[in-house]
Amino acid sequence: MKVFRRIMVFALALAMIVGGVFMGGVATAETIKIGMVQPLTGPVSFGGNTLLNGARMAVEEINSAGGVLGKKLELVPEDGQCVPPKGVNAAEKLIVRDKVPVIFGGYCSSSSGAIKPVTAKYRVPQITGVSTSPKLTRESTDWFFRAQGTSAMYASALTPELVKMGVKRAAFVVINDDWGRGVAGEFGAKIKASGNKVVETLIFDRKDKDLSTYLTKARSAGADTIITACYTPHCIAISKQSREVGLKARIMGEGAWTTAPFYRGAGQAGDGVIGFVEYVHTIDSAKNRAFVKKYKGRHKENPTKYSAAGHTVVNIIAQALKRAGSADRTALRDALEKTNYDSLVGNFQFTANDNPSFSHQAHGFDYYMTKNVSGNPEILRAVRINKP
Amino acid sequence: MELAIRLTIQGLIIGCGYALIAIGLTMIFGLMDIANFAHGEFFVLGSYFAFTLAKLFTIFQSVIANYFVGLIIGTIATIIFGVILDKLIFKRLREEPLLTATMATIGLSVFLAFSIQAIWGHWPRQMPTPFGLDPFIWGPFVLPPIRLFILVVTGLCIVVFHLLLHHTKLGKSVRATFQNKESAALVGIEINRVYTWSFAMGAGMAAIAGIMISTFQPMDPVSGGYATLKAFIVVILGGMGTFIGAIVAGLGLGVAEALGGGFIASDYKDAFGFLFVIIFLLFRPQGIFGEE
Repeated sequence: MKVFRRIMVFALALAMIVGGVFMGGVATAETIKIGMVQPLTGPVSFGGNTLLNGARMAVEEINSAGGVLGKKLELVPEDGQCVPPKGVNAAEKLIVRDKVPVIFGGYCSSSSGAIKPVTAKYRVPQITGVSTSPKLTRESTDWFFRAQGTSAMYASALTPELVKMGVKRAAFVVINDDWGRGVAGEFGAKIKASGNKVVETLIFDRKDKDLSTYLTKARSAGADTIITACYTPHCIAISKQSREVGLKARIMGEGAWTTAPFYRGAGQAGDGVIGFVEYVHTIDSAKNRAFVKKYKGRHKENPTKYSAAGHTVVNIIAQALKRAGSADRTALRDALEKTNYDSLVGNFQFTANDNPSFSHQAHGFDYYMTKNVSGNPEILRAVRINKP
Repeated sequence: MELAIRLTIQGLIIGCGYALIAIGLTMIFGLMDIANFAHGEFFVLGSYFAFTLAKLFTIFQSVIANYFVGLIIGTIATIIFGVILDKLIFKRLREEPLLTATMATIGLSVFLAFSIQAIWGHWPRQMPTPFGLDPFIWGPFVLPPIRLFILVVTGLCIVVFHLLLHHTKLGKSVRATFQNKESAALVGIEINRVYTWSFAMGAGMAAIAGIMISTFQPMDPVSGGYATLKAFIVVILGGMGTFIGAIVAGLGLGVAEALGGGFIASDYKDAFGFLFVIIFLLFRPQGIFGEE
């Protein structure tokens, strides 16, 4: 019996080793892997999963058109939960075990920032499609790219519009992370520079969903506008609870203001909110209509700005792989610098690594201001995000 | 002053939620010597049960009636689930060392949170608001109807709980077991029944809190841990195993957070709770109502 058990254990171990090597061998030979660190569980996971949907759609499109460099693309998604240490673990695993040539992530700015030193250490190009904290591309590591604007760029582009709309006394209600603090800092500075006031800056924890304390504070400070940075649960909470505390101020800002779960959760309370978004499914272009139709056919729901980001970044990576001619990490990094991709929201190019304001920072695309009308985001304005 | 009044009211209402969750936790701790880290999951489960069951049993046309149906069936479902958990898991943990039992409940908490996520999905859900969002306003007092409802229901729960504990035979056996389980068992009290009953009550109260709070806070599958954390602060602050302590400390924590977050620094709102605990325990390590 004992001998039998020993043989069994040995056989099992052998099977695992052989199997592992065999599977690893096959995967690297036939596909090019794109490592992803996105929040797939936890409070932010709705966006992370819709991003994955968009990325998967792009991969299918590219693969059905013959793939890249004669190989198929393969996504290797890991769950970073938007918790920085978990993001770091996921990135290490993708780089060391899966040997991915590129990492697409993170999602929350704090997570992207935590992964940045890891990709720099292993010399792996990293692209985020979502994080907007300015400091990510202010400090260059040579390996980090952002296929998205920064809160600083959005603040410069939008503040003149806000002033035209009569924003005089703004209060910030933002999440306590790099993104939230970035929104409050950048928009706050621009609003002050325009001669208007910032009456309160209120920062909430991401696990806290009772925001009435902050909204009450904003109300008593006499704010005429609330500017936010919030993920879906907090956006729902802000829109409902501001009614509860009798807050009459306009609500606007970055965040999940145009996603389907937001509308489902907030109901009528979500109407009238003005969103600052990188993409919205109501963009009127042939390219976008086709994208929305395909996405909706598959997921029974409109794509989110995260879906669009997933789609864009995968395409940017695929193009760079073609230019690089191989999946070599350094060649891919150099090829990414020459990006010139026409996405759903316009053209994407990156600034040079030694750009004085932002390195490897995307620009050239449009940014939108939307207003929610009966559960549908109508585009109020589109502004071009120019080269910083 | 007006702001202080508003913040205090908001703190009291959130405190009601803390108290309802903490009563069950303190009871389980006092009776069974188990620090149940999966207790916050009852708060989450209650709201998901109510959400789904209210949809399944949409008998009435009005949102209010359906909400009450959800509140009642959701609470009952959570109580039943609590009893099942007690029979399956907690019964086996009672004689284990504290650390073993604690580890098991942490595991259970993770298991439950991810099961909820697997069943209901990862995106945030929202219970329909039964009474409308616009608040009643009397001068400085701003109170949305649902929050007034929370105050009333929490008060009722506490009264009913008190009556059960002090005026029924079952309540007497609970108190006896609380004081000394060996002696209680010796005089013929079925302590296993007492345990199950208390566990069910605790689960039910956490569920009621969850179902009420989820009308203005979106539900998400993994928020149980946060609820457990807050409930533990309350239990420690109030004195391990005292009911009145859980109530007073729950309300106190809610108000401390609201005032601290509102007047001092919003980004340290959660830290004020802990600060409050640390300072308090320095002077009274046994908690507000704990005995030395």
